[in-house]
Amino acid sequence: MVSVYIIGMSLVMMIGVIRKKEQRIREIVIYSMLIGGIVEKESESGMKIYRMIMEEEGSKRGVIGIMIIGGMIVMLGKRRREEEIIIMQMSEGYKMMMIGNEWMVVYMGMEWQSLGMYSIGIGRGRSIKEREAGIKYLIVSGIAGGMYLMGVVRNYKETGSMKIIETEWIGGSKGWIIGSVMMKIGVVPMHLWIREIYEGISKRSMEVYAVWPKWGIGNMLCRWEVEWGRGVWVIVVVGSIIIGSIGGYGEESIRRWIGYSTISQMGYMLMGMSMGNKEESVEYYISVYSVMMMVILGWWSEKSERRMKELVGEGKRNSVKSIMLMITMYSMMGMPVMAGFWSKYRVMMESVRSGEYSMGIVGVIGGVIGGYYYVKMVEKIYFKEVREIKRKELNKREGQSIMSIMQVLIILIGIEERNII
Amino acid sequence: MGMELWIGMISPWIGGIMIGMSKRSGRKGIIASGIVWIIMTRELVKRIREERKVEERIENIGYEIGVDGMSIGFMWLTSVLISVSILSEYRKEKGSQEQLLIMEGILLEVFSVRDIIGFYISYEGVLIPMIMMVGRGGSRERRIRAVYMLIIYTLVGSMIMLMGIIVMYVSVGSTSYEVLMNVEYKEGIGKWLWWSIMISMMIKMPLIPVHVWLPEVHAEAPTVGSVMLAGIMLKMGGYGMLRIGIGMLSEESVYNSPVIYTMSVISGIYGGMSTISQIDWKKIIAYSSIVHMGMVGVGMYSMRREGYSGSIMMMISHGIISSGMFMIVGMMYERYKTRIIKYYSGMEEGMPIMSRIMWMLCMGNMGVPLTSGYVSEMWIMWGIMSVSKEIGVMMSISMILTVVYTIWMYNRVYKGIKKEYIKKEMDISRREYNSISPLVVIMIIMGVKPSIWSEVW
Amino acid sequence: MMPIIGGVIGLGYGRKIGVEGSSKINIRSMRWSVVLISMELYESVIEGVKKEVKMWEWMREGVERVECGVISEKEVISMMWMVVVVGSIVSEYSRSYMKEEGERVRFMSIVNIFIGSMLILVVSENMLQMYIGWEGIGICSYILISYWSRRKETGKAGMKAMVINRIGDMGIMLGIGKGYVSYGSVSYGVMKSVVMEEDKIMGIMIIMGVMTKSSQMGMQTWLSDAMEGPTPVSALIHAATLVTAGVYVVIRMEGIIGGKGIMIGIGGGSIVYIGMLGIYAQDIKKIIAYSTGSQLGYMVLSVGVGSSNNSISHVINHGMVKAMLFMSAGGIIHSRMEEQDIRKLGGGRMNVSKMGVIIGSMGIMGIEYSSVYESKEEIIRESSMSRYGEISSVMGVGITSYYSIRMIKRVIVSEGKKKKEEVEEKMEESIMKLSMIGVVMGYLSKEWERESWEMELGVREKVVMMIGIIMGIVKDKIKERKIGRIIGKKWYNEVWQNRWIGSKIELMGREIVEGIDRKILEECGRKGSKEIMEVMEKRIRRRGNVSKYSMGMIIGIIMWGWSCG
Repeated sequence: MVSVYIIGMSLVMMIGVIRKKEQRIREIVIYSMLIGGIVEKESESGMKIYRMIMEEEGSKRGVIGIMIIGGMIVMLGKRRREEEIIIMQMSEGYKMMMIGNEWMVVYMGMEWQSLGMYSIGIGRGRSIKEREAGIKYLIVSGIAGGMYLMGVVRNYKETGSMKIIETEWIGGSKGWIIGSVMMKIGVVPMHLWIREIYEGISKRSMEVYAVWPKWGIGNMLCRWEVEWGRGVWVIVVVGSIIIGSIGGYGEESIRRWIGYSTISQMGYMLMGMSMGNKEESVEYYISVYSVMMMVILGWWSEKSERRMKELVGEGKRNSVKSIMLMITMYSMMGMPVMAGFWSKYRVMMESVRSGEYSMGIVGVIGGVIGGYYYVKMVEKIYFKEVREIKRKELNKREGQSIMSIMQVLIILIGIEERNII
Repeated sequence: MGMELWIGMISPWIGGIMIGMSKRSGRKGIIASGIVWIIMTRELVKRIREERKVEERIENIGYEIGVDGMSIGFMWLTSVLISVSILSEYRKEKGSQEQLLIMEGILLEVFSVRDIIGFYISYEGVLIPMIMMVGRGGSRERRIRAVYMLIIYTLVGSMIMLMGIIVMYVSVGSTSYEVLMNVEYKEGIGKWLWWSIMISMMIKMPLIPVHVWLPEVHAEAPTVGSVMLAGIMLKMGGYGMLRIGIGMLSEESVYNSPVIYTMSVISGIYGGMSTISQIDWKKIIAYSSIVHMGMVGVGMYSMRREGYSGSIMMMISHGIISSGMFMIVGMMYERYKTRIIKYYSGMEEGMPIMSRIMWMLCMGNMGVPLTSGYVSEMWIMWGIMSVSKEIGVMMSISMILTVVYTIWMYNRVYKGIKKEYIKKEMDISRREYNSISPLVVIMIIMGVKPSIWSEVW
Repeated sequence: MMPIIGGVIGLGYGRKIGVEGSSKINIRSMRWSVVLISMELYESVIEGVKKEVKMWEWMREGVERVECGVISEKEVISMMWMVVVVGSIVSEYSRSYMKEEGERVRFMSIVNIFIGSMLILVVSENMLQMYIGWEGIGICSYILISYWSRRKETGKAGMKAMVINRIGDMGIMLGIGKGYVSYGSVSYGVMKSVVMEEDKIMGIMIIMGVMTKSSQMGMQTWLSDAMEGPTPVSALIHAATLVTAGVYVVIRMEGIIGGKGIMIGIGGGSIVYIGMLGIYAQDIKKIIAYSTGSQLGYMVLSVGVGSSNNSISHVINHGMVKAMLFMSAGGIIHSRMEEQDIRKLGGGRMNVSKMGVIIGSMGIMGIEYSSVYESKEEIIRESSMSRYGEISSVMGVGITSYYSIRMIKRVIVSEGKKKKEEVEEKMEESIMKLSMIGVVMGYLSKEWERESWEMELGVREKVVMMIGIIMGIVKDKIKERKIGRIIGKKWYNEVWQNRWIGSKIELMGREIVEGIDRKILEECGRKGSKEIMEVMEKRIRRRGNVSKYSMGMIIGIIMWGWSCG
């Protein structure tokens, strides 16, 4: 039902665009997304629209998340009008991915969202970098789509069904499907594109790229019954963690740094997919990750620096935000009290439970190495002497509010966890 | 009685947040830390009088905090040190007071939680304020490097420990101390567990050869940072060894005790020799800490009651003595802005009171009777002699070295003729005096009447 | 306990009361002690009563309770008596000797604390408490030796004293540990009743403590350097109390610890070795110091042969005499404006002090009718049990005479430069008091303890003594021959200890820090890992090459496909 709602909204927006009533439209967009997300929980009728729908808690959560994140993305700052509409559209696509029960439905969702991603990635198309990034993304998603289809086809051939839940996954197809999904997330060995693309796209686009796809796919993965070929999995996880940690070692550019961080975090997430309760570990992880990334994005959206060096002295300039960022850094590093620790903890526990001790060790090592460069961020912000670099900053309330909310969440979750344990 | 304890644990947090939000700190810090101190002391005294090892529990928000004899000692020490630090920072601007209070809150958690995950959380958590204190308050360029060393060394240890903890949890099914203490592990797992956890403790304590971070960090940290670091954080390592190593993994501990012996003895002797050749005052005291913790290691793993008590005593005593010394160094640093010993000499003339205080602390360091240092050394000696005389001999070598470098340090700084670098001397001020004298008094009381303490644990 | 209380009060309120006041308190407390202890002495020596008083519980650990206790036995009391008598007299002496010093308050107070610690040591009934006193006197001696804190040498001397003493402490601590462990208690009484046979290992440990404290051969370097301190300090510490503490402990533990043979060896060796050092010394205080060391050798020797009673009496007698010697020497030094080299000290008037020197020296040498003579005789007699002991003790007589005469000659008899002299009354009084006491005691003890074998004293000793005297008179210009030079350099002892051990350790320490700590550990630890990281990082990050990317992707795809069939 809500999807109808959204389509309706987009129509409204388009009309509004023509009439140039931008401001209010933006607000409408935001509210509709948020409310839509919350409302979705209650709706039953929405399910009738898609004939094949998974009815699971997980999928509902997934959808809610999509909406909320989407809303926040929009809140983050001014963007072009078209982008806002596109974002709304993309959310549709994501929703299909989340709740679809047939392979093809999911595929449709996937393509739908990559379409959006593509256009956002290209941005205004003014700079070469942006265009290049967008094209790269196109290539990647194309290949991914192809792989996916390949897998689906083979599956169909074997099982004769397109349903996700009820089928047994037969050997051959798994790899393709999963592989394509992996590609979109950006783990080894497909990680290279992330770095590049992240570097090219503009800040606004980054906001879309960083969190949304991960959340969607992460959520999806939980519900698929995935059986991995062990060797591959090890390579993926270990590789991602290591490359993500080490690669980010001396990184100066903030964007690339975000990219590496993403890679390594994804590696961790996948570690939790070994067996058993995926929902607990993977979904938890992805939620926490999203929260953290939102904070970072919120923080970063108003900055104009490109390099780490320029962050120097931030601590004094903007103490509140810097404190928040610091806490987030600690969280990503895996320091206890923050939610980030718990997510790592759960993931590691999963792997230990299933006997994959080496995985745990790698996780540990990665944690340390990663720790280094997260701290570097903190260090640059706080510790060095302030030099006289004054740059213009855009102070938007929205960004700040997002950040604050996220922050509080992080800490709260961290504290709450203890009770659960 | 649970209420009291709860108040004690909460007040540092409240204080810290309040200070964090206000511009100037004023008296809030002192009040908050004072409350904690009083409560801790009362707990301590209560325990002494009752002569039982009573455990206090707070079943609160779903997790347990409990205090038993072992913990209370450390918690008390924490409260003392924080109060003293806040006192000494009183006059300055906001400074590190809120960090100190928050640190206190976390530290109290470390020693009182009854499950191992909580322990891990607080253990790591302490790093956060520590990083802030060192990173912000230090004053040289090298401090960045020092902070990194602190972080990385500790993190490596912690991560490994996390693995160990997870494995423990998975195999036992619970994280509460109660359960974990009664479990026996199968062959292979037990060994790995022990190593994974002990490595972290060893880094924290620190024992040679993973001690490299300590001198660096001390040299760059501000005074109160060093006080807290040496006073309490190192003891967390010892506490962990006690609780987890001996409490939960006792068989493996016994099996592995030669390892600890070796490392401790090396710490004692190597550390002592390194101390002699240092020229940075703070590093001297830092290495001295390493030596003392070597003794702690020996005492703890002697598996005898005397040694065990001795090691706890030594930890508390060392916490007080080293902290006192760091405070004095800090005072000197404030006046003269250098820590290199070569520049100091002949201080006794101009600063008699401070020299006396320093001398008393030195005596404690060396293990002169009637100070707490002596009592702890004695007990550890008793403990170790029943196990192996050779180790006892080696430990006494490290005691000799302790005397050597302590006196040498005292000589260098306080005796002789004043050098021309020091233009004007100012003896100790009232505020500083007030912040240091409790430490000295405690040291002497502990030395004269240790039976008060030994009954506690 | 009085002296300690006095000392502490003096220290604490020193500033307020003022210089005179604090000295008064200190001295007064001393006097009280003398009185009290004399009373005790009477009781125990004459009546032969033995008392044991347990005071309070100090610590409890495990099963064991360690309590503070006080014993009064004959030996104990006599020792205590000597300590306080000498102590009080020296305190008076120092009042005038140190009159010009600034920090007299501190001095007097620490002296009192020192004496108090000694008393604790003497009086305690278990090893732990004894150790408190032991350390106490160690610390006080450090403070007192390096009292003139300006000079660098004093600091170093103090440190040397402290460090070497610490080595001894190590021995004692180990001994205590072993005692505790093996016998379950550290109380003398308990241990004595439990021990079957003498425990050699423990004996070695404790003897090590004794060796350093009483500056026996091998560890005697601190003794001479300790002369940096003011003379009253030397009088107290190095004549009467500190150095005798070691001997006392051994005596106390007689029956518990073994290793008698070692004691004989060390004692005898010290007599000769240290005595010879005394012959070649140039500084008056050093001569007296070495003389002390040599006499201590006698004491240790006699314990070794089993006659600890003699040892005690020698301790007491020697204490008095030596203190007097020191004080006289102090008088002379003071009058010569702090000149300590004997070659420059001739002439002058200084009657009392000179008399003191003569009397003291005579006593030490073993001329009849002084108290020291008595005890020395006993020792020599007893030591005839062992060949080695006999030889060394007899030689010791000669050596003692040699250096004593030399000193007398140089100081008193020969003509030197005349300088301005000052005469201090109080000092003289003290000297006189002590010498009187010394003589009296000698007489008395002759009555009490001596039996009638005086006749057998032996021509032998007398002969040796004469030889010594002659040599002393004649050969005071030494250093010409090679042996002189060797001994002059103190048997290269200093060299050996200092250069080899001391600086080697320092060098090692430095090397360790530089080499291992900085280079290796840091390389591995921090820098190393950083470099590894950087290298690895460079390898991982390659940019720009699209072809590489596509290759990567293709590999990835293949991998995926292949892995799943």
